[in-house]
Amino acid sequence: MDAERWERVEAVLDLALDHEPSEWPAIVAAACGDDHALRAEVEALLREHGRAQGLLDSGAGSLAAQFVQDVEHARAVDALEGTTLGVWQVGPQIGHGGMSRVFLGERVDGTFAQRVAIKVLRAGLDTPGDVERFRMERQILATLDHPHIAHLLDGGVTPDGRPYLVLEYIEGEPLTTYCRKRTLDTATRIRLFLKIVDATQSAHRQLIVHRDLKPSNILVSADGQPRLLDFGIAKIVDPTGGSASEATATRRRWFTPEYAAPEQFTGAPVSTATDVYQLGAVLYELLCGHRAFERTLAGRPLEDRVVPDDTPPPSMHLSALRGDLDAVILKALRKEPTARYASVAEFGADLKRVLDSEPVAARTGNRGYRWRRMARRRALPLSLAAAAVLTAGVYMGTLVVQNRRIAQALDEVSAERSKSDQVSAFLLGLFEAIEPARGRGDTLSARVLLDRGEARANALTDSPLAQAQMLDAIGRARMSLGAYADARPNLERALELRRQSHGEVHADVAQSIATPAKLDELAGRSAQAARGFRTALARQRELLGERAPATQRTIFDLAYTLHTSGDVHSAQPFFSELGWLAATRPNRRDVLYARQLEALGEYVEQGARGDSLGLAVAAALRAEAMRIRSASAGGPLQTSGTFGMQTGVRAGAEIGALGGTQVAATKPAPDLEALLVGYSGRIERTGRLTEATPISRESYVLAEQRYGADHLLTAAYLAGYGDVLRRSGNFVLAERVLRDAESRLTRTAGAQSLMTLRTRLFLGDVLRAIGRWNEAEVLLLPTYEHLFAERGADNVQTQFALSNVVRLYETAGRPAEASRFRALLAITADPD
Amino acid sequence: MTLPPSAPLPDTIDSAIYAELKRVASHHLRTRAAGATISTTELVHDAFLKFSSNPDPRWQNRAHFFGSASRAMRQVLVDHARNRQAAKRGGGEAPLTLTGRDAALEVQVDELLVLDEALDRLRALNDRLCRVVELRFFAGLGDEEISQMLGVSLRTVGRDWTKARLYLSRELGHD
Repeated sequence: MDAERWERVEAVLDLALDHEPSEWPAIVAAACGDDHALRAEVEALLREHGRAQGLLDSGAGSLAAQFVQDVEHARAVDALEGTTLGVWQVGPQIGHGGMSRVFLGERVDGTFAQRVAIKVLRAGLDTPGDVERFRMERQILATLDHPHIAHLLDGGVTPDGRPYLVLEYIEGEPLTTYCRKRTLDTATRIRLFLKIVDATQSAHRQLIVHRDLKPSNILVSADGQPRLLDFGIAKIVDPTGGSASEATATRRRWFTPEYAAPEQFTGAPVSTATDVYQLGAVLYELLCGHRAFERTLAGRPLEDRVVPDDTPPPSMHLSALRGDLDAVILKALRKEPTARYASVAEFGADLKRVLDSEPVAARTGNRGYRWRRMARRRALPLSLAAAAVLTAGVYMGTLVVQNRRIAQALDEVSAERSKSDQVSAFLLGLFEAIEPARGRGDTLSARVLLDRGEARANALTDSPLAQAQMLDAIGRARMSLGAYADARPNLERALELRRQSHGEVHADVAQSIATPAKLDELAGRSAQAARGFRTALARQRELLGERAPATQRTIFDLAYTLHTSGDVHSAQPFFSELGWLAATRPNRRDVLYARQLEALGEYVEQGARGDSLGLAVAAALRAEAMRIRSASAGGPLQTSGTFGMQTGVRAGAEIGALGGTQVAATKPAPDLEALLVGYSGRIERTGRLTEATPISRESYVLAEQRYGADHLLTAAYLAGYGDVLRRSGNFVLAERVLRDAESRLTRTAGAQSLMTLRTRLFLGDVLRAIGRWNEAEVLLLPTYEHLFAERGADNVQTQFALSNVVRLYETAGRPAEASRFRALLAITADPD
Repeated sequence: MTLPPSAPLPDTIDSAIYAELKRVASHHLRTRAAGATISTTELVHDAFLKFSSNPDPRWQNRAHFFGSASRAMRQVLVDHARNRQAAKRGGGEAPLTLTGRDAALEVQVDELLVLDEALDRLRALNDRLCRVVELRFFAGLGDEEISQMLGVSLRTVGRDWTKARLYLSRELGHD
């Protein structure tokens, strides 16, 4: 960049910095016009805003003071250079550490030439404790004899009374540097690393814990052999569990924060598990080029992150590591010492399995670890405000949209797996039979074909498993066509056949339990659905692991069911788990992934009213999604529009709506209607109903164009639009729209589905508002009674219905009934 | 303020400032518990207090004095940081353990060198932004002093710092 260019950058920065950060995107977009490079530059700079910069923000003073201290120490020790210690001539200083300085040394007794490293206790550190620590190192080194551990050669005391050690001098590079310079492949790196695992294990056999394993303590010499050095803070552990040298070891806490295990930060007991962790940290860096926890110039200090924060999987940095190596490294890096490999030997054994492409213990032994961890940390309180959100108008549309977005992302993951799946082959064959003249996606022919397929499946009595698979596929296809009543017998029969063949503990059986539960959910039988999902999920976690697409799908179905039935509290940890799984999914730079994150962000935000952690998580998910969207192919207008809509910034959203329309004119914007409904929800929450109305309508129109009139999504958007009309007082239009939506929902989702019931409540409220009380009562009362029977008195949905009933009797001048029902109101469900 | 961007500094200024800085730093070190964080601007400021009473006519121009002094400070620190790193490389990387504080210092040393290079680039783009950083970061001056010294409004100083910080923060983040 030249000065002239920078002047333009500064000009835009000046414009933006005069306003609140929320307004920046719009201002920058407007100021930069077509100059995309300029805009990218400015945006990159603005992203730095608010990012903490340790050094920059603290000033140079402390650094200066440290340097002065440096100089003084150097002077004190330099006096040793050129002197002789025993048979060793002291050369230049080659290193320094917390306790000591290291000089190059040479043998001068004329026997043979030998270069050594002489380690001398730092001047000023000659208290009994320091001397004892140094003595300990000598004792430890003397007991170790391993080809990959640097040897102790000699030791003594300097003329001014400081102890020193003479060590084998390793002329080499740190393990990480060595591998990086030679661009060694992963397998070679692991093999080198295994030698250090072996060296560490030999120390453990002598009951010695190193406690300071890190790349700079593992040098690879010219012969390609790695050597472990510096047992300066090592300690001898008591095999009975205590610590033989606790007094000296913990008197002062020495460690290298970048590689320290959580127990070293907290001061909890150190054991061989500490070395397992540190080796894991070294391997992490060795394989992916990043530290698990990097001391960044920005953000919280390491000591505040290592203990509470989840360790990002190494595949986040290098996707080739996903799978076994992720699992192995993360197991070594568990926060709780007992959750790690029980020994470095087991760690090494699992690594050998990776090299031999055998199944690793890390993947089978730790089911649900992360999940348990997360559930423990993220216990969200059930807030009444959060529950009330569920009853807000546009939220229903949002719910459907987000549900669908997550489902799509999950399906995409599954699709990667099931390409060779017999089921899809079967279905494909079925559809290939369609005469070419027939239109694509003609549901009538699809239904006919499914009937034909069912007949064929029922004939397969000889092979019950194939029959089960076909029936399952047909049932699911019928479900996706909305033919729920026809689907159920297929699915139930498939489950029965699978149970007969496999027994209870089988992934297919679990799947066959989950699928009809979905039917229950669609029909509004939430409790029954949740039971089915829970049963299936427990099995799937056990048999497939939490990352399996089928497991994730069930987690989602369960979370969604709980959420929509009003049990936000129970749903929350499952959404969090999904968010975690999504965020740590490798190869995730696509728009689909961004949408999934946005959707999860929505749920987390809905459940997190007043909970700042939850809001922060939601914001983080959105920000990550935004980042991916900007990086992917979408045009700049669409990107800024997306941003505007997501953040609810009006100017940005208007640009976005414009951009979206433009894009839609040339190619279908992938999910504009979903973005619109989200945006309208945001506006609605701020009370600007008149602004929300046209946007809400637009989302419905777009959906109808895309999916057709008789589609669940279209119906849901229509209902959302009707509710916005109701809230803004446009009752005449609201009635028409809601009636239309109600009948479409009845057809697509079923008469007793939650969405249909809620739409009836909206409609009833409209009728109340225009004085048609009898009609309103006919709609509201049975809906309330149904919800009461199905979901219980305290359920948010029931309560929402109840609040409508109360309002009806109040408006209609029937105070006795109003107060009778009001007594049942547990919470103020709806703010309007 | 007439100091050209890359005017060479007389050796005497370097060593005088360094000596004073060292004196104040030692004082702080002696009077505080080991490992305690030393207040930052306080330290540098103390060092410069001494110079404000210097009768040398060259230092009568306050702006000139602080301009030179902040650049001298930057030079001293960067030279020292470079020496440290050179010593480390010469030794084939120290096979020794650092205390937590030492490790933190190593990171700060690296940061300082990155910052120094980034500042040179920033100087080429807008000299004033670079000066604001030198006066504020290396000399520990407050916005008001800087505003008087550079003859610009207080608001401009704040804005300059914000922009310079955005630039440097980005450069530091991509090391």
